[in-house]
Amino acid sequence: MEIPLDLKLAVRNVFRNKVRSLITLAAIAFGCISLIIAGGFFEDTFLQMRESVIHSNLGHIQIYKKGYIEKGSAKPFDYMIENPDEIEKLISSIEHVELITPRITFSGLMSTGENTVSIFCQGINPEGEQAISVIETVKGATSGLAIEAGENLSQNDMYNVILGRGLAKAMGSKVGDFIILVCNTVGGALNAMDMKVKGTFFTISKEFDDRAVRMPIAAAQTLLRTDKVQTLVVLVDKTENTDQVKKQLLYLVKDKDLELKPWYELADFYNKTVELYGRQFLVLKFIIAIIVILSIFNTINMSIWERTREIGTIMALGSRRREVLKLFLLEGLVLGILGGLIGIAAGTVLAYLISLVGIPMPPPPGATVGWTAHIKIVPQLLIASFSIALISSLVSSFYPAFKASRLIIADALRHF
Amino acid sequence: MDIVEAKALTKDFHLGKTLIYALKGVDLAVSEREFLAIAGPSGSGKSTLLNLIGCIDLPTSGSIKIDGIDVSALSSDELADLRATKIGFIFQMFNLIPVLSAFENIEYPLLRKKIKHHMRKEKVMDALKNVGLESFATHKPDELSGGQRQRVAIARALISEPKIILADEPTANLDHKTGTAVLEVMKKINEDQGTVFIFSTHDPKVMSMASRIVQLMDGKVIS
Ligand SMILES: Nc1ncnc2c1ncn2[C@@H]1O[C@H](COP(=O)(O)OP(=O)(O)O)[C@@H](O)[C@H]1O
Ligand SMILES: [Mg+2]
Repeated sequence: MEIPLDLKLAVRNVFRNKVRSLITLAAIAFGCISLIIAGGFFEDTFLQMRESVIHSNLGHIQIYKKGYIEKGSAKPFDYMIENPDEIEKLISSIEHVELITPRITFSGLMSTGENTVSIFCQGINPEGEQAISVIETVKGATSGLAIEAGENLSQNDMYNVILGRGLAKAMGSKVGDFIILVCNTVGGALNAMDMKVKGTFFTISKEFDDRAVRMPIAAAQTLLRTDKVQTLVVLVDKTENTDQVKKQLLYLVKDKDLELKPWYELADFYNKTVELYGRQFLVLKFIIAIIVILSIFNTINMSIWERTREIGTIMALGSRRREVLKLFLLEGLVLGILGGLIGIAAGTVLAYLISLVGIPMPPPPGATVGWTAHIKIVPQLLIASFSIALISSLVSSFYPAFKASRLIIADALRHF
Repeated sequence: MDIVEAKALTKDFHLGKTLIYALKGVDLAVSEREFLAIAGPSGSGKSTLLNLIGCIDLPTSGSIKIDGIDVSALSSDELADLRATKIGFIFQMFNLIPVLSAFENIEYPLLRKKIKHHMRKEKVMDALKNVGLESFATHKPDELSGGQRQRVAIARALISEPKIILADEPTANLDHKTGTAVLEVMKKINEDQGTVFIFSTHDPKVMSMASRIVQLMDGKVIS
């Protein structure tokens, strides 16, 4: 097929002033690279954070007794799931569901004999929680809940607890120590139990680690004098499948007097962070669009100035004004496409190289562990940066091109 | 019928606060097959007159008919189409598009017309032969001499088979011998194809090749 002369003309004109065009291309490519790197970094951060949030505590979907979401915080024991085993069985047959594990959370007091402090207790199924805390989707990330000293709870444990490391430190509790847990039973009476500290742990959340005590769910049920559970935490094989599972769960639990929340409705901190960074990224996109627009504007404007007589010539030869406009828009477009392609290629390679090494990051606010950031290569981001290059090149070449197309031909021809 | 019919043409230019009267009422009729020279000292209005005839500038007052069409009534697009079909231009500085080869420069005016690809190529090759440049098809303008460039420009002006070719000082940037040779090419086309040429010049030798000479002085025709 023959390449249209217009396109040939545009491409050749773009490379007429090589230095200037290369600088322009570099500016556009630089813009794309910044978007790809910054966006890929945010994406990776979000992903790691998301998985961390899910695997340290939330799981993918939490199921409660109907009414718990609205009134559970005031009267947690009024909204308990009575038949957890039956429901577990029902749910485990749903596609993409990895496991279901029960939880009871309640507040109480912990005493070492010398000190007493208010705490946040979790009664859990050790095997289930361990499965939740494994993050496989994020390379190099630590699991959601990590043991610092001693050992994690195991399936045979009964009167054992693990303490958040902040709590353990504040109370001076060590592995092997005994502590006393005091709380209200479901019926409202006071109950206390001796528990042995089996280990200490930390998660992404320092706040959690400063107050949390974990124990086997059976111990919690004994302490609370109940056989019900509060929450059923569902783990999905991949976070991306959450909504699919949620849909089926909704259908299943409809007549079971239950309600549920997916992780993204529970992860407040994550949501706020994503929104904050999302806005910052929008600003970045805007700035980069401006850089691209200014550099292309300058290039096209200069080249139109230099080629005024040529514009007069082609109009004298019978080109309509719109065709002149098209010619220069095409030049802008060629710049945008080339710059965008170079930017995408270079950005992808750079993202890959940076990810090979990884960027060591300090602990995020409220967290205890640092992590290694990578640059995620996101197809949508590549498309977005290419589109920004393309659209801003069109936008910026429009004004000079329009101006060129409005010239009085005789004046343009007199121009030297 | 006259191919060009200009009546009472005036053209003023604003130069800062002063008004320059470049044409002060010019009447001109050009008939078929003419090879017309417009002579006159620098600043007498030759370029201005050619620009108005070529529809690349608008008169302050007066009327122009090209091939019977009153151009004052035409839109910018219609004027462009009129230039594309009826008028060819040859410039003093050749005005070839530097990034295009000789072949492509000549081909350029044809692109807007619905001509089959191979017909177009043939036509352009013929035009190149006509001006004796068939072996320079792929050369870029800066690889051609002044005379060769002007011959490419002539071929480009001719390619859309216009009725009129306007040439503002076509030989001013050429040495005397080359200039005469270029004029001879033009003259031959005028004789063979009947294309009307209107060209401005200072050069008495060039003037002598014209079939008629219009003398301009201070924006008026004096003979
Ligand atoms: N665009 C313009 N602006 C101001 N004055 C102009 C312009 N074009 C031509 N003139 C003036 O009009 C007069 C005629 O110019 P021109 O037609 O170029 O003469 P010639 O081609 O015979 O040398 C001159 O005085 C010139 O300075
Ligand atoms: Mg002149």
